[in-house]
Amino acid sequence: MESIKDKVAIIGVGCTRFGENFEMTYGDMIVDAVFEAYEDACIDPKQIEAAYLSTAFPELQAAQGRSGMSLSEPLSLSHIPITRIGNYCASGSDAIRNASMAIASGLYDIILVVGVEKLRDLSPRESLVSQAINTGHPLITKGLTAPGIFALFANRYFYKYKVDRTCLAKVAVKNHFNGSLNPKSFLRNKIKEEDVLNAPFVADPLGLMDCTPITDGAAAVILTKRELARNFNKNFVLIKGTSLCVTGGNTLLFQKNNDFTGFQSTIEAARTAYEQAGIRNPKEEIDVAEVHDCFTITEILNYEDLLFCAKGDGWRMVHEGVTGLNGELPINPSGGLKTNGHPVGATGVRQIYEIVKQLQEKAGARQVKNARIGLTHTLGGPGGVAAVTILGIGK
Amino acid sequence: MIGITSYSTYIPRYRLEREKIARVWNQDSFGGERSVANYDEDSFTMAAESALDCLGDNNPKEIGGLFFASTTSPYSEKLVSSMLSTVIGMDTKALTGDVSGATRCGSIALKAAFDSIRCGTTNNIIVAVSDCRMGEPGSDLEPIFGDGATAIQVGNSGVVASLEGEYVLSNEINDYWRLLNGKFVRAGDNRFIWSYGYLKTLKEVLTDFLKQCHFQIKDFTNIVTSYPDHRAYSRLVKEIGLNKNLIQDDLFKYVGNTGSAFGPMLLISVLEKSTVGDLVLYLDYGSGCSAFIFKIQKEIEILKKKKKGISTFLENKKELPSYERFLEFKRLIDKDNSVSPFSTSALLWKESKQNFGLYGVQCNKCSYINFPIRRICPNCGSKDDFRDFRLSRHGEVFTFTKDRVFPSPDPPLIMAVIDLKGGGRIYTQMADCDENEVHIGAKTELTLRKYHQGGGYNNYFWKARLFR
Repeated sequence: MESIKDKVAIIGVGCTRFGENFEMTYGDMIVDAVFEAYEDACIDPKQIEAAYLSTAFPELQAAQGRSGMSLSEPLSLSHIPITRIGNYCASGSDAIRNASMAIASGLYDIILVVGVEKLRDLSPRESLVSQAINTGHPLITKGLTAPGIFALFANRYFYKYKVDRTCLAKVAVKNHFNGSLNPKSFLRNKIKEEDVLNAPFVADPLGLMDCTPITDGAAAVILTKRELARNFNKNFVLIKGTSLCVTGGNTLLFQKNNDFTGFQSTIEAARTAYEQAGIRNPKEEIDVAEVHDCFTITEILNYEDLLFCAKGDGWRMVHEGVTGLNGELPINPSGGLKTNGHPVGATGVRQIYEIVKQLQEKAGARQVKNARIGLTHTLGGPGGVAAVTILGIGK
Repeated sequence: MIGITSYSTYIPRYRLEREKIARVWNQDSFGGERSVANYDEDSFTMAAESALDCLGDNNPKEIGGLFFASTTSPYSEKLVSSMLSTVIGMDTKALTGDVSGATRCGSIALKAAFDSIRCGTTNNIIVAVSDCRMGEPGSDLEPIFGDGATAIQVGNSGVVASLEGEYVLSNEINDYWRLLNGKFVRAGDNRFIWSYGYLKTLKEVLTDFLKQCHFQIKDFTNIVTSYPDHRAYSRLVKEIGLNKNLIQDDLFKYVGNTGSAFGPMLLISVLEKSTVGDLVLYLDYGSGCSAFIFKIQKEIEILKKKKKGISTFLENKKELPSYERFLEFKRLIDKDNSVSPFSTSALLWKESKQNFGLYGVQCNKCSYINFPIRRICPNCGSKDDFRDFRLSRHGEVFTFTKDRVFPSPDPPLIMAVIDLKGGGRIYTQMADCDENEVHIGAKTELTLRKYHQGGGYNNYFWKARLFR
């Protein structure tokens, strides 16, 4: 099997502010993110040969995102193939993976990837909560919500490793600090541990400040083959590895071999991506990472699944400041999902935006020092789908 | 010999102090408390509890029939007895039937079951009787009513109480009724209906029945009689000169009149205390009266050891915090809830063995247990190579959460992953528990509950409750 390493380059990225974008439509966000990316790549829109659109929940936004048409409409793009990707929270990462494969195949030279989600035109009760009530199997797993899934893991993790909510609070404090330095982040307030511990419960042991807020947002990435990259952007970034692993749906919660302290999907996706990128010691070789902190517990489990530490030691990494902005392995310098929120289809693309900016040393106040190799990770559904992307600076 | 071969009672966990009702309506309270079915319970789910317990470890395929009796069936059209027979795993060729109408419907079904066994149609039948009647808020009936279920198995072998005599009498009177689509039971003038309904009928039966079978009141170790209202019962006791020792009123005081299940529940409470040779007269009222005489057999001692008994339910109770919570459980608070959960009868039909019968499959190659049922084993990859595996209802919490996002009439909704005894794992809602009681390692028992009315019909599935 061939590796995708160094075949595909990112030449432009764009991203809207993530937040309650009440004043913007689904299409407005696409236009803003994509035109920022066009400008970044010094590219004419007519040069785009194909596109991928990532939106996870079209049914919550007037069916926008159900097909490639939802991208061609706002951008007035015509006569090019546009594929819509939906793969829960890994949708954005998967769109980039598919675009990379299309470039690597030689079929297209320039591809646009857009991740976008408009969740806040509805109240959470009308959108994600009503989804939990009204859709899915009429009986099996009824009562399942996103915080409810990860809370199962938190309680089991606490039980197994004899830790408590304070380790979760440290994740939130760290990510809020990072988010305060990110002008495109929704939440920009610094917080204290007690703020997290005193917040009302959402799904015990997860409180309100352990959860990602519900936001709108869009992000765009323009890809080309390595040989052409320099013509557009001298500061291009290379894809070192991109992987996706799907393990199963909600019935994962019924599997006896699920120990509820990690995700097999992440473990497998990481293994593949590391192999492609030739990474043997992730903790030493990765300089910066954006990982899927939909809930604070998830970030801790990700550390372990991504092999940044041994199993059971995830909580220590944040405890000891290893993953802080100035630590050995800064995680979620953007503030992560914790402060940016999680417009589902956009998140994976936003993570790429962040890592590209970090590798290009354009991340401003939240810049991580000497970042050469970066990683992004998304995790979706009941932990049944995960994607890992590894990026390196092209110079 | 034919007679009762097994029995069981189910009383929901929640109670409402009558004082709490009286305070709201500025009335006097006669004390005690009434049982309240949880928001996810109905006459079918309560009947399932008692029928499963009544069956015990016996093979469901050997049960010849099942009758469901209730004045509050969740369906006007559709057999609940056939749902019950699927839940307990009976043969589809077994006799099923629903009986409704008066609160005496349980005894009407009991009589039909005895007749069926006597004429040789079948060897044993379970009669599941269950009710959750509603009195209008603020009415006399509201504190009197309680919710509960019983199941009585009758047959011709292993008899614990032999049938020694029976009698029926109809009495046409508008004393208690509920119109089609009416939510609340209505009653006529108490002084009139007790005199010409309950008292007149019971006295007539006592006289005629005892004369017919050559017994006298003093011959009975116990006389069990259902009653619509405790005041009517006091009058009966006084007028026929019933010995104080024969009166069973704990159930009324702490549970209430459980409709059609009340008579059978009183009978079971007496059977639980009876010993070999005791003679029990059982009278059940409702648009007339059904009467039976039972003689206690020595097999009752074995059964008594196997059964939890009514006292377990009287002890394991939980007081509702408020009258408002009671109204919420009874769906009497009007809310603008526009939920419409997806459901399809084609899917539920295909999965009824799994969702009602609690069947998973076990891989013939690697023994891995799959629930929900699937065609390809996730453990070894073999295809369509499984045998049926019925999950145990008993298990232990592996992990859980108290979810405050998913709407519930009794928040927070507790979701748990449960490892089942003998294999298999289930992720489901928890029922009847306080949020502070649940912990990893807690022992649990699965209980059938109503989830929602998606598709326009009732959607039932298993939840877990703490094992008590």
